[in-house]
Amino acid sequence: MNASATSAIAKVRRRPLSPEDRATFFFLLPIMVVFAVLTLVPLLSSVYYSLTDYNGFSTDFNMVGLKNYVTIFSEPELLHSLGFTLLFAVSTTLLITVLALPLAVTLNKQFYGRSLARSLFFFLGIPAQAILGLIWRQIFSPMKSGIFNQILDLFTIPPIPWTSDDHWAQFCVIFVGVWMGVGWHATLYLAYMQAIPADLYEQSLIDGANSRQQFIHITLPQLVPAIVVSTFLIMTGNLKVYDLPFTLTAGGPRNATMTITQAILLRGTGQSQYGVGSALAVLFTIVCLLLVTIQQIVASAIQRRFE
Amino acid sequence: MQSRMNKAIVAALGAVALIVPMAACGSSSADSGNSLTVYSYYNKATMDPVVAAFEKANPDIKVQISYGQGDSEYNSTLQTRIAGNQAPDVFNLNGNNRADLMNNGAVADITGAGYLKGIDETYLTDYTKDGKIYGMPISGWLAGVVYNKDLLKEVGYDSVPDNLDDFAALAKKLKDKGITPFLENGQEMSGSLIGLLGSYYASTGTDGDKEIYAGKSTFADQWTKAFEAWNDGFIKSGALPQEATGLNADQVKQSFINGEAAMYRTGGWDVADIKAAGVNYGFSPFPAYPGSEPYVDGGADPAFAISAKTKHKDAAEKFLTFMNSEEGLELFTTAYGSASVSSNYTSDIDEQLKPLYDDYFFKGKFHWVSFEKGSTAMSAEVIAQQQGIQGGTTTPTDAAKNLDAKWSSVQ
Repeated sequence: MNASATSAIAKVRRRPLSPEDRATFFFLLPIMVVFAVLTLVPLLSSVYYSLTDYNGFSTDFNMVGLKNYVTIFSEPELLHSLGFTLLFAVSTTLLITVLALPLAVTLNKQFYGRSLARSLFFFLGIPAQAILGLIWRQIFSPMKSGIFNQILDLFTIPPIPWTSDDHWAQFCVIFVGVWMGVGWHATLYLAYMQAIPADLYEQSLIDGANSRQQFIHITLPQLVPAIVVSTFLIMTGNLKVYDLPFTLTAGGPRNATMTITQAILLRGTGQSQYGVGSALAVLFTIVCLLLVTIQQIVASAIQRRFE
Repeated sequence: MQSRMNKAIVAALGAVALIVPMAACGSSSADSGNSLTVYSYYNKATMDPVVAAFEKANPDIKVQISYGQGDSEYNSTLQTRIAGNQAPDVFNLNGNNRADLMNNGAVADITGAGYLKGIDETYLTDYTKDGKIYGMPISGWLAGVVYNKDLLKEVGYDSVPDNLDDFAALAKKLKDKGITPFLENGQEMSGSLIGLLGSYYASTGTDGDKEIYAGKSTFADQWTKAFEAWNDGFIKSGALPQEATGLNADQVKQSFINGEAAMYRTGGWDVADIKAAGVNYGFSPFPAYPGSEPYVDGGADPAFAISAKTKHKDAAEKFLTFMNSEEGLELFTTAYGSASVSSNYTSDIDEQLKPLYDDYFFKGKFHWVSFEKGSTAMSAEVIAQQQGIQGGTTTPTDAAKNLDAKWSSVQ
């Protein structure tokens, strides 16, 4: 460390806390306490329990090293639940973004009933996921009396085994996930669009740009920060999805729509294997960190490209 | 200066406001005076009249009751409370938590207690370990095939055949008429499969499940035959369509009530809804395993148990005494819609369902699978395997082998 750096640090150390610093500290204190109590402590205790054979009842348990992690990698169903969770998170992130952008552009145009249309799309994601899951379960009923199957019947198309076939069930969960998120994220884009200076569009009109060119060369680059925020929110929210697949398909059929959160609960409390459940949670946290980091790197690279 | 002080005070108040509720979570409310904490598997509508009558009979005891919904929520909450030293004084043991709770010393041994008097020993076996009794079941459930008499009449039947071949023939006739023959909740262990398993065990004269738990036998030895019979009689015959794997209990009931399905698997809990919908219904047992007799699904309802660490043992014992009294049993079984298994009271049962109780349940011709270890995981594995058979992706032989593999991995 060179001399100037040392003296700079010393200066920082010597500088007395300003009233602003103190106020900031006190304002942040409550949330820091909440973060420590509700996130940090459980996370660290999960790491600890993942190295034990704790069963949730007996306080007499042993350290077992990395045995629980080995268990996870040797059980295909646990890896499968990790796989479906990633499929769900990545596919909903891509699909919601691809659909929400044009929807936002449409909702940004002047037309009769625009406010109503905006509210309607925003409302899709308002009810609790569990309730939406239960409602969509009726719509996607694989019986002939299921709502979608009745519609198909009008066109003499045979019923589709929506929630009773592995792939269709996965499709149903992803479909509802996208359906729920599109309106909310379109609203987010809409808010960012309001901030795009109108003169950019006026200038482009003078230069003879059509609406497609305007979208590609003005709207899209201006929306990059919004896309970064939106995809981050979808990805982090959907990696921990639980209520929707639980109520829509109960993780079935044949565990096809089992998510990692369901597996953690099933293993931890359902099977009295807190050790394996905790190991799964720790592993999942690491995968989430990796995924979100990759996403941030890609996002900032794109952001730089448009700067 | 004034504003700085204000900021600090506001920040401190904010911190306190957030911390106080959290601290409150850690405090125990179980120790207050003569109160009895009960964590009930049964819902409020079932327990409210019982608790009110109990408090009236025991004015010095105040019951603090809370409720859990469904096995998994109930069991995980109870487990968390026990692990956190917040065990309720009285709670319920069910098929999925009894083994863990009995094995880990969380439940008090109630062997020989006076309040168990009148309860048939058959129903205590699920809640007994090494000769010691830990739970008191006061009622029993059964499930069989409920059928729409009008729909069956359309294809020339008065009731459900008691053997698999004739059952398959009935299913074909119903299917040809565009009626779904039989349904059951695809997210539970198949009731028709377990009924067949019970019927198969009756033909061999041994309870194969107990042999497996004791390590003397395997699922491959005990379950393969039942899986095969189920595959032939229910799946290949088209009686139970593959769509059923994606249906839950409510959807199955709806299909029956709206006339889409002619039969489904249920018990007393759905009778009120079926009656209200005006369906002309009847109940029958599951068709028998070839060469054996028909069986129903059934067993003791979740049992009442006392925490091993209770500080209110007297009050808890009074509560169990009341549950097994004539008044307690009447209030409970009427509200819950099940049948008393105690000689202290005989329940009124729906007249269509009554023959199943009289001819099967009370004669011991019922079966249900309640794994002695890893219950939730094993049930989930049975569901996955039966769904595999329904989808044609798993053979009966492989399904049983997969259960063996799972059995050896659970603790």
